[in-house]
Amino acid sequence: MTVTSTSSLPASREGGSTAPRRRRRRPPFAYVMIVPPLVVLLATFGYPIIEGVRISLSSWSGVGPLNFIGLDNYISAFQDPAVVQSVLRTLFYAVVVGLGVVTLASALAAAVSRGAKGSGFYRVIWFLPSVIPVAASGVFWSTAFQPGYGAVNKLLGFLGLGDDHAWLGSSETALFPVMAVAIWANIGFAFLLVLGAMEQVPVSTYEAASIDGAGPVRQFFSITLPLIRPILVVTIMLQMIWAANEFSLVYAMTGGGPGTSTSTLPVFIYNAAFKFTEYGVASAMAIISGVVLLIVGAIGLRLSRAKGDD
Amino acid sequence: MHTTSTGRRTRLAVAGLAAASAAVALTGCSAASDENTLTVQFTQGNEKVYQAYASLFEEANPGVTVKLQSVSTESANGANLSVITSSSAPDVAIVPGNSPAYTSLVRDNGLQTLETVWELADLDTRYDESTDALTLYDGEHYAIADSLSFYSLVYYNKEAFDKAGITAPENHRIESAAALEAITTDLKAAGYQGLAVGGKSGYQLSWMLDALLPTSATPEEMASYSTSWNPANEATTSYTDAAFVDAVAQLQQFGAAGVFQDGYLGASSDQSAALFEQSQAGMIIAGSWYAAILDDKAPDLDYGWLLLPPVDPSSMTQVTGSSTPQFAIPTKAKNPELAEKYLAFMLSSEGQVGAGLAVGGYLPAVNDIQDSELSTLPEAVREMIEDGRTNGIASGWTSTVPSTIGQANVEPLIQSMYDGGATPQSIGEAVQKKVDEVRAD
Repeated sequence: MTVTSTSSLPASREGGSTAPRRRRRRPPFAYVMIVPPLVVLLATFGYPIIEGVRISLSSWSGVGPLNFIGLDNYISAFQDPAVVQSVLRTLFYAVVVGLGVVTLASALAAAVSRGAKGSGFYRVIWFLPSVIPVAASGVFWSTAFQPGYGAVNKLLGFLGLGDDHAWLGSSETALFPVMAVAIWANIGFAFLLVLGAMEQVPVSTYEAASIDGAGPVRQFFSITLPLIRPILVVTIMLQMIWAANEFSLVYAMTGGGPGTSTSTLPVFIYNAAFKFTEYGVASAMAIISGVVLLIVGAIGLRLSRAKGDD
Repeated sequence: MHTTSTGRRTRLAVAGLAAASAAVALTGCSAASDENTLTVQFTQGNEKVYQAYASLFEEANPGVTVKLQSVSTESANGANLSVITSSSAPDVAIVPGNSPAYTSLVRDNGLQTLETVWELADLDTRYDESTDALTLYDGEHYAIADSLSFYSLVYYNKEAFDKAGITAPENHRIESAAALEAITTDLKAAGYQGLAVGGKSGYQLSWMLDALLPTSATPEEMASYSTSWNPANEATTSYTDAAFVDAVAQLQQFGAAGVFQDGYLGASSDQSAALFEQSQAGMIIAGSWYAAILDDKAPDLDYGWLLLPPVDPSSMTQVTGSSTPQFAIPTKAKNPELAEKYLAFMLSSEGQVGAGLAVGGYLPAVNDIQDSELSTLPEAVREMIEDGRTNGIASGWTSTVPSTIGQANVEPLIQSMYDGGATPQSIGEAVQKKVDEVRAD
């Protein structure tokens, strides 16, 4: 009895067959399964972006039809000193928080990865701030920084540094406690990323460096940092983007004040939309912010790939 | 023989999609409105009062169910607009009458007129003229005010005053800015903070402006300030005039004299309230509703109340009242007739006394509630009511004008002034600019 193979594949593939490999045909079912996530993506991502752009090109108070006004919202945004200040403030905030988070996270990860005593405990402790709801953090720290009775001022008073510091009550100082809390709140995630990267560095590399006379500090700057640079770049980029988009913490701690001295772009956009019902202006600023962050993200990805290729 | 299961998997996928579609359709069916069910919004934090209104209405209307929806103050001015104009609109919506949301909704036919409610509840008679005026837009009524409140009051700690050797004025009026500064100095010498205010609250600084402006402006000027934002009205005043600028300047003087607690610009209203309730601050800016809160949270705190000093010494500060309308019926309400009955009930004597007064300590919005019904209110509040009857009640400017000109606009400007970044004159110019923009729209 002869059995005829119905397979479309060659009968034998042993010994380096030179027959061209035939492309597998995807079953139609695969395309059917892609449709639901595509629909969800379009509905939750694509459609809001398109609507956001439409609103940014319109004058709209939240009800009724959109009144198309072209690029007027963008022009007025760039010409408004308050908007420009908010953008600069946001960039400053994002850079300080991004670099602060990664710098501290790297230092903490370096201590833990070298097997410091209690490293297991510290892995948990330094990650804890990341799991606390941001709004709750903001409310707590807003009270902690109050003069006289706030926990921070109480501690400073105990240390003889005075207990009447009203940092949140002055436009010159209000942003600094907010940035400090943002760094504290975000250090955990960065710490885990950097720690993971550090633990990938072969121990033999450090051993060889030790034999050559390099101490721990020299090893950190000459071996660890260069080898984990791609992760560092991506982490800095992510932290800066998240900081630039931070709303809850800033609003909970200062409401954007005193005046508008801590009104980062998300707070500014929120006020424009929900306090002044200028949805067109708010959308325009949101689009501008999104484009800027997209560029930052693209630059960061390119940098990390370039360093990775090295 | 190779058997493909592609056909079977495809059939399964199609069946799954069909089942999901059926579930969505069923959900839609179950959400269809019942003509005896009313959906009513209320502001977060006031659950007990509005539950009381709902329960009393259900008792009076057997077979009717009232479903309550809580709306935060933030979303009442923003995100709730979308809900009100959607197919899921409630029957009774929260729409703060001094917010841009209200004017937007009225202009775009998002709210129905309430002339039926006015007839059912006889509001032409039972609403004071000022309350009625607040509810009017282009000659029609679109929202009701369910309560009256006094605000920008100065509560003081009697024990703190005694320790500081301060005698509180019997007529509840602080004579002058200098007198307020002297009170604060004495309080600080006795170990207390001065006047606690939530500088970052977004409303308490402009509250004080509401108390001072009527003492700086003539009644005609006040009337113009309250209505000049509307292009249909003639603007006979400017915010750069002395009447407005002097009121702001007095606010500035309070700050310069150190009247407020340390770090007030970074303090929320809750943080400032905590200072007063823990007897760390001798005074606090608050509203008539705060008396009931104090009785509950700090029952041992013996308190009195005062009014801020007038700008013009020959003038007398009155209690500042607000009957900002906030309940309306969306055009897309599913049960508008039942909603009209509900609003009329809220303003009936039964609703005003049984729910607003008895449960919330709210002052009635209507003028025919017997004094005997007011006996459940704290003594301080009864004194405020009596004072209002004797000396008149001033309408708060930020309660009257749209918040894009008033509270939302002026609050950060006042913060900036206290921080050294603005002057009374620049604030007047900024407000006038906003008014000009709104009039030109």
